[in-house]
Amino acid sequence: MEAIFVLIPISLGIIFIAISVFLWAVKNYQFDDLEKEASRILFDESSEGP
Amino acid sequence: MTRATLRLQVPDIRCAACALKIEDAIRDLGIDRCRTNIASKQVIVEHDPKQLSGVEIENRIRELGFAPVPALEDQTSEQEESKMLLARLGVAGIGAMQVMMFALVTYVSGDGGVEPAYVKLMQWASFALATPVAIFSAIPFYQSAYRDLRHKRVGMDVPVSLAILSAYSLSTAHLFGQGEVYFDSVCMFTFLLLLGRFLELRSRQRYKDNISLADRCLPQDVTLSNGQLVALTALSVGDVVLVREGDVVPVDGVVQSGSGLVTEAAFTGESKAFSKSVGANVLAGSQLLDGDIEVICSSVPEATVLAGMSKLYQDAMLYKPGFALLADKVSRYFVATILSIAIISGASWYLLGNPEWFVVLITVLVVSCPCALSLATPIASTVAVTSLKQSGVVIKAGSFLEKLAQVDHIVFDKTGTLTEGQLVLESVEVLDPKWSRESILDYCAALEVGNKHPIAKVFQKNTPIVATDLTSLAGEGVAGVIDGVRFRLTQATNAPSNAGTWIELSAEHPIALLCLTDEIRESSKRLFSLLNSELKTTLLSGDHNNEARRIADLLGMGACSGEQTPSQKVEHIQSLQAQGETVLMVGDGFNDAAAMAVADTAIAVSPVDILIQEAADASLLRQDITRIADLLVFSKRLKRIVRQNIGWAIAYNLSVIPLAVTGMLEPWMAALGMSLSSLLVVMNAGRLQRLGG
Repeated sequence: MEAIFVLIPISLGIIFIAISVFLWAVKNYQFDDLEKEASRILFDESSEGP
Repeated sequence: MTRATLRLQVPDIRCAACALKIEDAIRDLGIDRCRTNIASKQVIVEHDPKQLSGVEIENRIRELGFAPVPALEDQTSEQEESKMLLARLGVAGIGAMQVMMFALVTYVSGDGGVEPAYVKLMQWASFALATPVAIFSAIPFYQSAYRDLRHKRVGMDVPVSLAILSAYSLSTAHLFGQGEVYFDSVCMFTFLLLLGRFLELRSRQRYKDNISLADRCLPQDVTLSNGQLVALTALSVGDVVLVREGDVVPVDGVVQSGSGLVTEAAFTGESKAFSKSVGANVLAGSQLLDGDIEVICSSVPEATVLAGMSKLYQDAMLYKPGFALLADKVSRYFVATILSIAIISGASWYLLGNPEWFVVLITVLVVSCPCALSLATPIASTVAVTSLKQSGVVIKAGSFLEKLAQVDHIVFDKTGTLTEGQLVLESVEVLDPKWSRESILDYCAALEVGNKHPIAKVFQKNTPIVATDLTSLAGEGVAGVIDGVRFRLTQATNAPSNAGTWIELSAEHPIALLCLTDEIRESSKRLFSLLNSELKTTLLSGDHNNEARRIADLLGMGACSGEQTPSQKVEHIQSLQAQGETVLMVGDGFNDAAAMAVADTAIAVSPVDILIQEAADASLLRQDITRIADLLVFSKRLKRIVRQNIGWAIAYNLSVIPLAVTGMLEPWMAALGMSLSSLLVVMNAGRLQRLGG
């Protein structure tokens, strides 16, 4: 059971990574418009993406 | 490389397809940083101004058929606010999930089931996760509580902040010393409350986005007739503005030269285009579909009908009905009462030796927050006013819907709104016996060929006869030469009766009199079959007695008086009120303004003047009075929903406070209950999104 003293701090580290990824996503407008992305596949793109 | 950010508001983005089309087109320009947002109808492009200017990007979007304008600052900051709140919510959510997992261990094992060393480890881990939640996520509550306290008020966020901060600091103290920690409560509580706030903000922004788009339709710069480009705000009465094909008319004014097709879709929602030529009035916000015109400004930009309308709308949004003010007042005392109840129950439990005393205290603080109560009315009003706007009804006085629910007598002026506005041939009176009815109609048709006047529509048919030298006689009718004889089709000077419009066909002598009437609208018939069964209706018209009688009879209206002067209308309404009736006045002209002011409430039908807007509590932007029936039903629905909301909020608070005081609720249940209760109120108000049904 002593492993838990190592594992819990590791899990905390992972959570903080997850939180930073989330904050990055919010900051970079990933959650800006959820409606449009759902329909994107339905439309032909007129040009090749970058 | 220098990058610039271009923010454009594109009011006509309606769906994902529009947004993707714009994104695609901009990518084709060689730009890969482009975002569109359907909810806020914005396009945000990051570009290198040296390679491609903002104007070029704007033009590209315009080529696609959209009408971009620069985005306003407040819209941008609102989005930032919503983004920030989402970040706080996410941090609180992740934190709450993890802390609950650690807390669960101590929950299920009970006292002494887990070794103290492990418990301490869990507590430290919880502390690590709860700290960002209490410090970062909960900031909005602290800010608003601080604002309240600085203004010597006790708002809703005061008990909330108190609960979060005291639970967090007490837990931290216990972490270093001995005792329980409540980090799980801190996180769950913050998360659930933020969730409620976030959803509320989202829905508020959605309703708000619809408001001022009409204002944004107007161009920022206008071209004067001498070719000079000036800012819209610099215009003054008497300036002559050049409006080109496709442009939006920037001010209210009169056409000075040129002619064109104009649509007022921006504010009436009706796409029908009207032909406007010299001397015609045009309104700011209408769009010139073809032709070029020069317009003399008849008002300054701040005083246009459009500006008046959006001002009225904004005022209506701010309005709080009587009972909402009461709810605000009540909730203030309520919060103070709650604080005392919480402290008393916490203290009593402490004195009784219950170790859970502190949990009870924060639970009471949380559960009794009167959020739902203070949201109950404003959210319903906001949704109602917005959905009315979308169906072409602008409210000036917020109390309008309250009053409308009580109306029991409707007085109509303006027969014009009840009829089709399209003339039909009622009868032909042949004066010269040599002529047949058929040939009279053929001649009339020949004379009216290519004419745009409403009367010409009556005679539209194929005719073998060809008229030459067609001229229109200003204000009188038309004239033309058929087989060498000059014929005239003009307003009859000696009409045999007063009902209907009489015109006369003549050559050297009168040939025939034709009677044209205006058909009652199908929709008016429906409206009145509905209204007559529930309410009293009266027609008070400035029109001739016979015409008023004819329309009142056709619609089955209870009473009718023609040839009414404005002061007679006022007296009539006052006498109805003296009989204890609540009167709604429906009118559309200057001559109704006084009557509208006297009536308990008034609706203006497609007003073209600010004065009428001011006199009426609400304006129908379309000439469609069947909306009135919808409005009556809608006002009753609003009343019902507000009652449900308030009833629910009070019942909820009264029933859960005893549970919390007796220690039967966990803090997270309290937070969940409170958020759900607020959400329920918001969702109930959301039912007002449609005018019908």
